[in-house]
Amino acid sequence: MKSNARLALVTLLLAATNAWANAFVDHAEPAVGSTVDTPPTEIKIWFTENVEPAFSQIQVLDRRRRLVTQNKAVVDSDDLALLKLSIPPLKPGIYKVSWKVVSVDTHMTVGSFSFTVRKSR
Amino acid sequence: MLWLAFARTIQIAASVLLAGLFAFKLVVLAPVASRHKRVDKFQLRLKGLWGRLALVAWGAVIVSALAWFGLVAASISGAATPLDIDVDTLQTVLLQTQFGHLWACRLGCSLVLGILLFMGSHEVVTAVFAFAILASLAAAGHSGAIAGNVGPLPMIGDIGHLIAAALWPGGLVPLLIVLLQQYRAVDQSSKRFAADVVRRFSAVSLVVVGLLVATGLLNTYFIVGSPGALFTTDYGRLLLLKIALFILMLGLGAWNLLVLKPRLSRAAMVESQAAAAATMPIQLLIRSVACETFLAAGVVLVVGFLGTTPPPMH
Repeated sequence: MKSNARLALVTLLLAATNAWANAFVDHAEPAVGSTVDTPPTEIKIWFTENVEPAFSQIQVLDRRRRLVTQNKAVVDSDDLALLKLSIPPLKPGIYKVSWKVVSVDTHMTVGSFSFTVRKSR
Repeated sequence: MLWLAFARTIQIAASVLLAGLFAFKLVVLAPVASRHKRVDKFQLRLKGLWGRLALVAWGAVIVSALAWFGLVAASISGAATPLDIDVDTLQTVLLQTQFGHLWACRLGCSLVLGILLFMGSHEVVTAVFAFAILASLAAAGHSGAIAGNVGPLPMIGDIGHLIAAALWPGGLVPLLIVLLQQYRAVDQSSKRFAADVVRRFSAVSLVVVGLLVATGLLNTYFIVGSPGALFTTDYGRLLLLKIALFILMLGLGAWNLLVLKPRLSRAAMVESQAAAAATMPIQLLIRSVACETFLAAGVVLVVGFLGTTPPPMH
């Protein structure tokens, strides 16, 4: 236990700074894997790092793998870690959100998640 | 990715060395020279060596900056090599990314620094540019990326860490030059001058190690997760290697400070008939500082690779 504490302290003291990191999803709207009653008009993804608008994009595909919009994702002017994509009203169904971002420290990451729009009762 | 890590390593090493030369000159050499008053051949020879080494380091900064830009542009655009990138992509990277803006500013500062180095005057202004080029590396790294989320503290810590690194271990190469010149010197005043330089460098190093620890602590708070991640991730294993090298450097530094430096000071005081015996501590010190410099190069190499490896926190 004592040696672990020492190791942690030494690590904290000597670890490299100036490291590069990757941007990953912090949270999203609609939430990852969620089911929503009201179709969203915008996909919002908050990343763990600020991202570069010129090299970052979001695509939304329906169940038949068709793009629901050709719009380009934009970075929020107040929060440079937030990437947004305006989308047309969605019909009920499962949608896949794919993202590819380059963080401001130039590392590229890709990923995807799904959400469901529920049929109105 | 391998070439990118090497380009970063050379960029960091050259920037640290360049700033380290000026830091050593202003913080260590100048105060000692003012006490010795007489500008002798020894000091003039050092000045010439300084100028040549600064130009070599500057050249390495420029070349590695160009390589760094090309490799980053290729990496984020998906091109196989920098030669496959089209002009539009280069323009986008340069004009529309934080890295591009920073790179352009750093290159501009480097070109001004080159002019100042060739002119050989305005020493303080030249030093300011050298430190600006070094400190701006912080914005290209992790602290620059998370600044928007957690504020400027990581960036401040990173800048402090880089500046500290310019003094120690960045000052080791200039120290080695002084020691090698002292070894060749035959007159006693040169030996006393060099012994005073070593004494002052040791005092400065002690303070700088404290600064390195404090800034390292601050920055690591933001990027390191659990101690277990040290053994289970590539980043952690690289970090362990860096820590091992750093501890070896500290050990050598302590030996220099506690054992060799007092012997060197005593040797500088003896008269010429004891000169043969007096060369022994300087030989040992040269070997020890050369080993420290070698280890420091290893640390920078590891940092270059750490930069292209995701930290455990992510």
